[in-house]
Amino acid sequence: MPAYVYGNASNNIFILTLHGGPGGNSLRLRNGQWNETLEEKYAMVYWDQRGSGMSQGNLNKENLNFREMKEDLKAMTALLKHKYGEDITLFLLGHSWGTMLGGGFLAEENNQDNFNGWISIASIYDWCNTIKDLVPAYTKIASEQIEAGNNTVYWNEILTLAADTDTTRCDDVRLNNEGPTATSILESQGIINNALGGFNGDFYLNNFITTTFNKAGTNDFLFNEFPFDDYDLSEKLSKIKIPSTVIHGKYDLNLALRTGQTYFELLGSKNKTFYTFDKSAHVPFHSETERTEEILIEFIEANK
Amino acid sequence: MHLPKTNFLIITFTCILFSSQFLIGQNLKLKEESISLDEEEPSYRLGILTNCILKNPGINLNYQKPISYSIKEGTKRNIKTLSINTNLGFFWDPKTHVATYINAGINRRKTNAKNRQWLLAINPIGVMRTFVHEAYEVNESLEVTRKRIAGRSYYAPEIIFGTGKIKNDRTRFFNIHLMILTKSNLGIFPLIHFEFGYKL
Repeated sequence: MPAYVYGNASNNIFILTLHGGPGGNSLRLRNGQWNETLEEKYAMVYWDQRGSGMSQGNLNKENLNFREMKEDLKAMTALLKHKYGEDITLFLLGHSWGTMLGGGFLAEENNQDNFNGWISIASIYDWCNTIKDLVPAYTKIASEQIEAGNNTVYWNEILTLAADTDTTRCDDVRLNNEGPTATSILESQGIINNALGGFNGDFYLNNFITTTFNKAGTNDFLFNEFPFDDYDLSEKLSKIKIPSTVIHGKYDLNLALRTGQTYFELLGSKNKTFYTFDKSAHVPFHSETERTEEILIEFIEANK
Repeated sequence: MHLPKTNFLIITFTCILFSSQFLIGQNLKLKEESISLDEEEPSYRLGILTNCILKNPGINLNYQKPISYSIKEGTKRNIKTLSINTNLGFFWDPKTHVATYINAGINRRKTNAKNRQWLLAINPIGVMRTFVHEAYEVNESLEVTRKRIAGRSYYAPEIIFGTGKIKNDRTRFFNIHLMILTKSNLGIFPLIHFEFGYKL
């Protein structure tokens, strides 16, 4: 599992990032926009999780699962302290699936003792509730768009799909799968800013076939081979007591705003803040770069 | 009519003998015609590798030993060569690892009257080994140790499609390597490389 460290390590502050997916690519987070300012001040650690990005392994149900991935994160924490010193200050930042991995990890044992803060962006705490939250989110946004006369044919289809979604079934992922298309339509209407951000050389320096292939395999495997209960953090997030900041896009149609709000409410930390990004969908740090930088720097400086 | 058993054996033996002579003669004739062609000699080819997005540089050394060939005369004259072929290669992924591989199999090359070549190689026997730049091992007690030689080995068969051109006694070629790594993560993994090179 490769980890790439960029930025300024002179002040011993490290931000360990957890990419989405599952099965994503850590360097996809480093698109040369939102993290430039952060890298000037801090060291950013981009880590390809098990079965993701450029990771190599011989994986099966015994070693590719949520439990093992949390163990990997524990090992990564130990490695950073070994390599850069026990006195480094660590912050954990998760995006999408990374918020489930990070949240599940921090809630266990004394893992959170190693971190000064938790940054959760586009959060998810339970797959089944994600489906339930997406129905009203799509219905609301589709209704607004129809009323405004924007892409009425598409949004009427979305209304039908939302009405047809079986919220009692955790595997009815049709609305979640619609996220990228719906997001690009909102972007074309100027309702949200740049949804996906640009690609930089670091992403292309990876063999993109590798990352794409790994993502498809790992993503399907983790959701198809294990019961959805394995990914339920509803009862666990209250154990997280470290300072936390939660950021969610108002127009996130992969994980609804309501899901992010619930994640925030479930966190046990007394020092926690929630930010709604009004011009963002699933990737707020690409859509509202400067605001992301400001919030993260303020959070890190206050809790370092 | 029933031939006596002895006569039958004599006739059969004679047929085989003449057939062999005919075949040997045909081979000799082909050799004489193609004596100036390079298709009958073992050869080495050296190429520069890149992955399919023109990153991750590498080198591929290829050895070919022809085992048979045929010449088709006429307006569509061409030479078809069947060879045993072996590749030894190396490439570098600057971010994560270096890799080396060796594979072997057979290839079929067709050279037309305009000295344009087409290649299909199937190398079912192959291995690839990766070496990561810097690796650590963390045990259950969270003790960290540095691993000196870390990486993975794969069974890595390969198919190569290529084209080439003989010009001024120099053969240049472009090959596309499709290598399958197994087992990689959850199953197989395709690795595509482009190769530009010369026959040595």
